[in-house]
Amino acid sequence: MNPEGYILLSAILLAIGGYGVIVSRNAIRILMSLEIMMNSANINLVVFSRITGDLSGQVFVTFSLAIAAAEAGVGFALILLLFRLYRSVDISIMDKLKF
Amino acid sequence: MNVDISYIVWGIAIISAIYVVHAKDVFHSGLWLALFFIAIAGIFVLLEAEFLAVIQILIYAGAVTVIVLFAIMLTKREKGKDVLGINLNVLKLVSFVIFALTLVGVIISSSFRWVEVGVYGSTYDIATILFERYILHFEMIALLLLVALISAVYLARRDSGES
Repeated sequence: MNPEGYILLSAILLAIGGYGVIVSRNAIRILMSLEIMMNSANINLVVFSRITGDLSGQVFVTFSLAIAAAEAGVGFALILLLFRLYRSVDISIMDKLKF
Repeated sequence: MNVDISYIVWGIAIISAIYVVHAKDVFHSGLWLALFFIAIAGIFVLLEAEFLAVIQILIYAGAVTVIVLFAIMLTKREKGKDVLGINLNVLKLVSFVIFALTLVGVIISSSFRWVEVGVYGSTYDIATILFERYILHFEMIALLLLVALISAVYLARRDSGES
């Protein structure tokens, strides 16, 4: 299997994740789409590590996994806080900073 | 045997990603997300990164999915009342299709080749690079995880914020 297929898959997943971030109204679904985008970046790192034969890419994916776990914890804590404030996770009603 | 198994894994990954965005109930999105993480682990296996595949299943399919499902359960109102749709817009769809087609055009006009190595990506080699060349980054990640843990506990306290 040639490398272009994997990079194409990564690009398509990035587009799907970005589409989900733009289109969703639920804050939890936006964070899920962010996870899709982070996974596509991880695929890209592994593919280019395989192309160049350097293992640093896989080490970077390990760091990215740790950061994604931290991001998920803090992000969902913030969503719980917003849910207590607004009694909903609909992001279209969160407009307190608008004037 | 001419049928490549990687096409099956790619199909599962793309279809589950689309269902994460487009499922009616957000709980179904969480379950599709678990399937998506497992498909990504399969892609790592196809790329001969077995250590990353194991880590992917442990952290993403294990921990992150549980966090997502807990957040969905804690923010759910009564049954069937909280199904937020998606505000679909032709302009957004077209713009992301153009984005994807641009990326596809750039990628298929370039050529890459796998490097020929004997044994690639053993856990021993990854650990050697991680603890020799990137030891400072490793310690910074440890600090980041500690800060994230404390801040998540602080933010999700019952008596913080408004209530």
